[in-house]
Amino acid sequence: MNTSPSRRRGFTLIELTLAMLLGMAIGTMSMALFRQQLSFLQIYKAQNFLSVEAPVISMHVSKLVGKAERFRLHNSVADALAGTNPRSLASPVLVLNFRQPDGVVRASILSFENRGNGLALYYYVVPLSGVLGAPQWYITKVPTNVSFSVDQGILRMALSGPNSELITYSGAMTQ
Amino acid sequence: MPRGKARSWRRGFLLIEATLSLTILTLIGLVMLKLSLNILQPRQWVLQQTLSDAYVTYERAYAERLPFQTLTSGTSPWPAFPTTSSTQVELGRLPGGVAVTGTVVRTRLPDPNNYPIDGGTGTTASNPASMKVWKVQSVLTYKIGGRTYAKSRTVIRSQ
Repeated sequence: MNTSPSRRRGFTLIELTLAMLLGMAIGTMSMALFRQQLSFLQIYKAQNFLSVEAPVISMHVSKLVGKAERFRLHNSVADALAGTNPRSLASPVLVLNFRQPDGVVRASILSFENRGNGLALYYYVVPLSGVLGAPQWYITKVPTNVSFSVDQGILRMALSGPNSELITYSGAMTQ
Repeated sequence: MPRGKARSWRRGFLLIEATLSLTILTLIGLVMLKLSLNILQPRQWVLQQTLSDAYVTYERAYAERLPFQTLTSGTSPWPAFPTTSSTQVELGRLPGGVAVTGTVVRTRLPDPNNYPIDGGTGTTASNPASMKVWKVQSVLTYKIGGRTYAKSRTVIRSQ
């Protein structure tokens, strides 16, 4: 058995306490650092709707609206397709009419609806037959609400974000 | 160095190492906090810019669409300079639903070639077509972090 002083000599209570306190402080500091980075990541993500998504949505919609000859607002795609119950209040469906070079007027529909995969802003092209199929594509799935309205003859699009953001774009029909 | 002293010095060194690591961790934390703030603060500024940019699309569209007669009437939303109209508006809402507000000041300025009745000094010689030209101006002011920012949109209307 080794009974030399170096093996018998242990740590004092103060040394142990200090070591434990430092260990705890280092652990707490590491956790705080981790939590801080997570918080920043959450804030960063929360800012994405207004800084990235909303301007892109606005760009897509303004390109479409800018080329349209006229527009109508409806409460549902069925109403929009039938041309019934047009309104100027906040509406989820916007019908755009485009005149083609041959003079034929075609229609497309922007609709904020849930087609079983969550809410999204869909874009439909209305066929000449008038029978509407599936949407061509969706513009966005991020907003919690998209509503179109007319104020002083100006088309307005209000986008509500997932973190209670609200941004409203406006545009005339002529660009 | 005597053996006992060397051993206690080694034990003490462990404490110094731990203290150093804690200090380094604190420094890293502070540096990362600063780096993160450096990223987030400009983005916060961008958010307000996005909201104000979106709002001025309305001012521009309204100025373009308003009938000319209404624009030049006594009840015009854009009174003739030096008279101005000032309105408090909500630009939008930031994450968390925080409303951002600003002030819109509207006025319209006559072209120098307008006839005197339309605010100019033009004559039949300088303005034979009797054109009425107005610069329709909206200035939006809003505050970010104690600083006041202004954004303006000017539309030329003529008849």
